[in-house]
Amino acid sequence: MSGLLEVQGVSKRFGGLTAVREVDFTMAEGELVGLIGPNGAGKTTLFSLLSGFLHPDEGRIRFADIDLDGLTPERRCRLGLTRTFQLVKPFANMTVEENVMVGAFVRVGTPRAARAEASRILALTGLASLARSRAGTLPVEQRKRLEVARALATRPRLLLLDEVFAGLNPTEINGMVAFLETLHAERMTLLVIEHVMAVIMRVSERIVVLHHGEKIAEGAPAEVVRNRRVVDAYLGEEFALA
Amino acid sequence: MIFVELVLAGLMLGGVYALISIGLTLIFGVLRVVNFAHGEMLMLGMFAAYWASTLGGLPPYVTAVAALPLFALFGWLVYRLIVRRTLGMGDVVQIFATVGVGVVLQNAALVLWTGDFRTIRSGYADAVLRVGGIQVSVPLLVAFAVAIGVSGLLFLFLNRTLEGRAVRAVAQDPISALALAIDTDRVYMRTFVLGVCCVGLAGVLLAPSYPIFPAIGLSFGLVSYVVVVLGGLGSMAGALLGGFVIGLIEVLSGYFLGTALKQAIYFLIFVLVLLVRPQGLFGQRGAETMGFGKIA
Amino acid sequence: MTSTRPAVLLVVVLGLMALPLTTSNDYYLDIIVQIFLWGAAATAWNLLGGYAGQFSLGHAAFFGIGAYTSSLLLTGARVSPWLGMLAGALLAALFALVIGYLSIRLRGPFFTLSTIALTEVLQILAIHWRGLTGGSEGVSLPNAASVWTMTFDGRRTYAYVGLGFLLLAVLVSWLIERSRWGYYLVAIREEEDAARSIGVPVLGVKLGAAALSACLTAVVGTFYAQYVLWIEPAHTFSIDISIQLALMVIIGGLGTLLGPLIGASLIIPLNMFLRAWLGAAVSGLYLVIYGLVLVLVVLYARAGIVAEVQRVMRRHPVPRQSPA
Repeated sequence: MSGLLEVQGVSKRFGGLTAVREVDFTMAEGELVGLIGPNGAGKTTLFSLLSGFLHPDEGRIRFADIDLDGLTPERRCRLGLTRTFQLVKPFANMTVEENVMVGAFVRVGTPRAARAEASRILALTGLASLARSRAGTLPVEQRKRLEVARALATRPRLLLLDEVFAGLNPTEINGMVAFLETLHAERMTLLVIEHVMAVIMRVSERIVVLHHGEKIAEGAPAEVVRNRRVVDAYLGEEFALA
Repeated sequence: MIFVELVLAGLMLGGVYALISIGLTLIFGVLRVVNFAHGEMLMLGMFAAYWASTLGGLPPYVTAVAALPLFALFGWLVYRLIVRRTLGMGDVVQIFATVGVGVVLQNAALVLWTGDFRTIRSGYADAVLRVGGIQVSVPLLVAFAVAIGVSGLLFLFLNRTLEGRAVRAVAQDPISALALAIDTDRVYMRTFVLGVCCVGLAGVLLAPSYPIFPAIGLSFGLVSYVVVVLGGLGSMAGALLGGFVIGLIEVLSGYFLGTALKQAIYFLIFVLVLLVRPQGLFGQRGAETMGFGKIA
Repeated sequence: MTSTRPAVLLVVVLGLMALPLTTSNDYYLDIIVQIFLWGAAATAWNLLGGYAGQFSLGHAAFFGIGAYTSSLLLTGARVSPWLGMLAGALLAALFALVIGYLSIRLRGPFFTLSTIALTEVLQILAIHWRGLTGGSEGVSLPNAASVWTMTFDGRRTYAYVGLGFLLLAVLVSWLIERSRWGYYLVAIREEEDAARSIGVPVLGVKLGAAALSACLTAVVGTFYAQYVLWIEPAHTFSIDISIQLALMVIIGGLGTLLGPLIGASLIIPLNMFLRAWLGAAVSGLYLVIYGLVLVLVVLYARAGIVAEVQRVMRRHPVPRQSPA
């Protein structure tokens, strides 16, 4: 049974600390999977492993039947695996449009084609009115959108979204949720790290829970919420699991 | 026998290189600043020894102590006026601020003291210790001893005192250190001053053994970068070990290959380290790829 | 990342073409030649330093490689400097690729450190390999004016040749600015990790920029050799050249098309003026001033003087007259 993404026994250690411990899971094309866990669970580390910024000490990662071992992040993006960053990294001295164009260039060759593609994406993500603004001047919500828009321009098959909801107010959250659901409807595969529980429960088909680097639960949101180990892991944390 | 002498000379030179580099690696480890003016600061230390000797008849090991307050003041000024304003401001600012300082120092020295080669003429400078048929230069021996001593003191300071632990805390995680009410600005300032004192001291100790002229900062500066890269940026043990390795290599290659190719050897080492183990002997993986980020 | 308007460029180019005609005084013409020469070299440096954000303090190495390659080929094998220039450019590109590949993972100051070493080594080689390079005495080039040997009678002609090189460098920068490569360069400068995550081929882009920058710098080095007609290691492979290039671009505006030229046109006349005023005897003083300027600009006006002036003007706009 091969899925779009296969993570097999992946581990990563930093000195004495095991950040990710023998994590296994699979994703099929078109799924929207949530990745949750308390602080320090290893979620972002896992993203870095999937996207090629870190190399696993053990295990294999296969994407579209290709072993990703040794492939650079750029290469993985070309293959269709793109990630965003928890602390967003806009190209501050470029305009919003130019930011997205950089992403588009992985698929098209000329600035004209990239500009056209960027316009399309900006309209999609509601950033069209800001096209000529310098990215460095944007407030948080727009920066997050830009981060997603830029990633979208690379036409990913699998998009790794790292805490896109953090710092957003309820209206903005609804907007972003609607947007994710649109992407999902268009059969884009999404792996979403999120802390804002209410959102992730709403949006995900399936949830993977990490704790101290290990996968402790996996399943539909309703099941996961009732899972003893998951509840224990979150006791003492600020979150309500409803 | 000559081989033993070479090894000894190499180790002692290595001790001095270590002393020079300790300042550099300390400043980098805590402030995340690469001091591009490091060689020029060494040069000032050498001139301090020269003038103290020529004008005041002070032998270098006296100047070493007497000049420390001067070095500290100088370091404080450079920190307050310049380095402090480069923190968190990105690559351009950090690199070129200290590059600029280096240019000013080197050329101010040129204007004030001309490019003439000067040497300290004193009994001390030529003193040699003879032990069982082996000759050892006394100034270099003293420099070596001081290097070990300073390293030891710094080690104790960083690991056994509260202030030292504060320094290490800031080095590891400035933001958390702030949260613990550690005055990071003061730590930065003191560390920078400490680093400058180390390199100034090294200059004074080296002065008897080398010709003194403004451009000498460049070659020594280069050596200290190689030592620090070899030893691992931010690692004191690395600076020490790296210093010894480079010192040995320099003396041995100087003997076998001639002085001309000595500097080419540094470059070779630099290249090899980058290729094979870019974090150096003891450095943290990734330190060299960090650059200097923007905080805002 | 706005591309400079063609209209502005046209005006500037026309102005530059007219400049050598405004004077017959050799002293002033020399200044003009130097502005074009160093403006071209600074523009080349800007490709790597300004657009890509990789600050090299080793460009004197490429400059020297260009100067020495064409000069040695001319004096040793009677090869025209026009061809020697190409050989020099190729050699410089090769060095840049090797150094670039080694330093590829180094960021910020560590990259800069690695570039410093190269110049030093080349200077030492040039001094000690006397059989090839004539050692510290350097290489003297024949004085006889001939287009074939890139040697000219009047400074005005040199000025136009120099202008040609400057326009070449500016043209290359302009084309890159508007191309995919240009976007990639700036992306890498701004946020290298984010760039990688969206598919920017960082290795190729950086190496390409380094090689191109090295090529252009070497080409200017050849022109320099043919202008001064004598090159030697201490001045040609000197870190002061590298620092000067960086200073010009920082003052004029990193990553802008005309910034390097603006910086050159400020620094070169300043240079000449200081030398005349302070006298050749006080040889280091103007460099002390450079160093101070560098520190001040970088701390207080790091977008470049032009950008700062624009910023101040925007806050205090010139009042318009009300329509009649």
